[in-house]
Amino acid sequence: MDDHSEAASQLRLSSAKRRIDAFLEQIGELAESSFPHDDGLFALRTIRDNFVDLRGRLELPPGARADLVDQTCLHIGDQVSDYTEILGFILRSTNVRNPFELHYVIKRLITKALDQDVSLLLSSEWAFVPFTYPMSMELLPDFVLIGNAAPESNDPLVIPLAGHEIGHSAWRVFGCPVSYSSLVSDMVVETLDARPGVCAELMRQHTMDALALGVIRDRCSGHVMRQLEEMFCDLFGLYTFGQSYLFAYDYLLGPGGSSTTLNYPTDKRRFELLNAAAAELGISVDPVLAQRWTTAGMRRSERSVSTIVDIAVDGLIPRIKEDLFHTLKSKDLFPPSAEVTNSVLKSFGHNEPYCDDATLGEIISAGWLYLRQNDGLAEAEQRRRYKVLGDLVLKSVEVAEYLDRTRPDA
Amino acid sequence: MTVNPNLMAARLSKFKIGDLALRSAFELERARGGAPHDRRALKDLADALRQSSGKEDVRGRVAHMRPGFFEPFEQLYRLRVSAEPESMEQIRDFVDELIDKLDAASEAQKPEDADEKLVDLCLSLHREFVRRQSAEGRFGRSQRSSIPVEALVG
Repeated sequence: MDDHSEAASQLRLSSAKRRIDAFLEQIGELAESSFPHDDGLFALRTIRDNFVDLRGRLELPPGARADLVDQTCLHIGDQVSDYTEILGFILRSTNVRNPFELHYVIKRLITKALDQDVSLLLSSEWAFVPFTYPMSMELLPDFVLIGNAAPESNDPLVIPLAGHEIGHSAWRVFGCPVSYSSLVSDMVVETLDARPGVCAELMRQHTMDALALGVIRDRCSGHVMRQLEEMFCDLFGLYTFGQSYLFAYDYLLGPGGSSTTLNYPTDKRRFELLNAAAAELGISVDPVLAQRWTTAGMRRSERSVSTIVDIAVDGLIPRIKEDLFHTLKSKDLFPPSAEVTNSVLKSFGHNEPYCDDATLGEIISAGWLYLRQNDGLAEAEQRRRYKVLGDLVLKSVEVAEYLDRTRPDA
Repeated sequence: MTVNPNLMAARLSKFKIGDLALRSAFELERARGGAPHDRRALKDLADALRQSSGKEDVRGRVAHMRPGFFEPFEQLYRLRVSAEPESMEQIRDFVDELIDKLDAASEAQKPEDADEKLVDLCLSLHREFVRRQSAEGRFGRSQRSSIPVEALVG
């Protein structure tokens, strides 16, 4: 390696180190904030420890390969960029706009469902990307991050969608990527074999060499796996939050029609699958809502893949659903009870919080039913009642927390 | 479905493999330069590849690779071995050989045992599993986000 190249490598490595140092300094400042729960501080410490470790490994002997230096610098740039966003999330999780009252009950639900300690961050976000999950957060595998758009971040009625995000953690903790890997691949092979016309069309779209079929199978299987994970998460949300999941889902995404990608079932299909599962669980649904969901068209170039993926997903959903519901039941988790939900609803009708034991799903389902019975409470003269409803939900959640904390076996 | 005791397998991601590959390249280069190094990353990478590349199942049949993982391995093969592979078995054999090399390198004692070709392979592995995805979204082309579109509820 010549002197110029050596100097360039040295500069790039030094730049990467300075970027990490600045990042660590920022963490130090954020750690001085006031955290409503320990989870935020724990997240900062976890990220810090990882970056300190990364910084410590950035020493290369003289004459080290330039391509290694460059690739490392790119990697560090990406890491700093990714986790800077997460630092922002952690900071915003301390904002008083957040419904801190929900932290305990959501965390309790997660711990019970996953059988392991997890940390939870609820945040008010300045983007209408209401819920996120730690998909690319390799440094925080035991964290669930739930963000809601700032204007609605203190509205408890949209919280059921957190069920979907917890589902992503459950997907990993329950070992689904491993358990379903072969099943998915087998189903895709079977589906391709059964549709030689579609398979031939896909082969035409690829380089005609010996590996085309392998690549097609792999791509289809990857999409099937992603779609199954999304449906698993929806089913998790439905099971734990009941009707309120459907209402919140419809509130946020209805009536569908957003762009269709191969990693998701179509909007309409998703809602139909949810409704069918709700019926199986004895959860009351509004059939009209489902009928009015729409789906955007699939890009022409993706239609053949979509045909295979859709068939394979439809074939595997019953198994995924059965496994998930069975697992949750074995952990003494049940869908919201209609009886308790109605009792909560009666309390809300008297402008009183519910003073007995109820799950988060039962309380929020009652909130949505109250809203529906009262025409949505959107008119100017109804705004106060809507605010009161939010308060009733949060107070009922606090009562549930109190009862849980003071339980003899707590 | 039960809680999987092997959380590493359940949490194995393309990012994790790419990260371990870069880390392995780094440690090998340090070894080659006579600097203190830690070969555990090589062992971890070998384990991660073993878990993702498919292995014989209880029926004695070779299971498929983890969905979505075949293509990066295939690309790596085309780049490092032959642009025109003849069968899918060649890809699997190639990954198995890579695992063997990583296992051997993780147990090597002398700096001169650190093979430069293995550094090449690790860097290519990192590119295929991590860089290829993130490079598309780098600053100047489109905004890159740690929270991918797929992560949204909708």
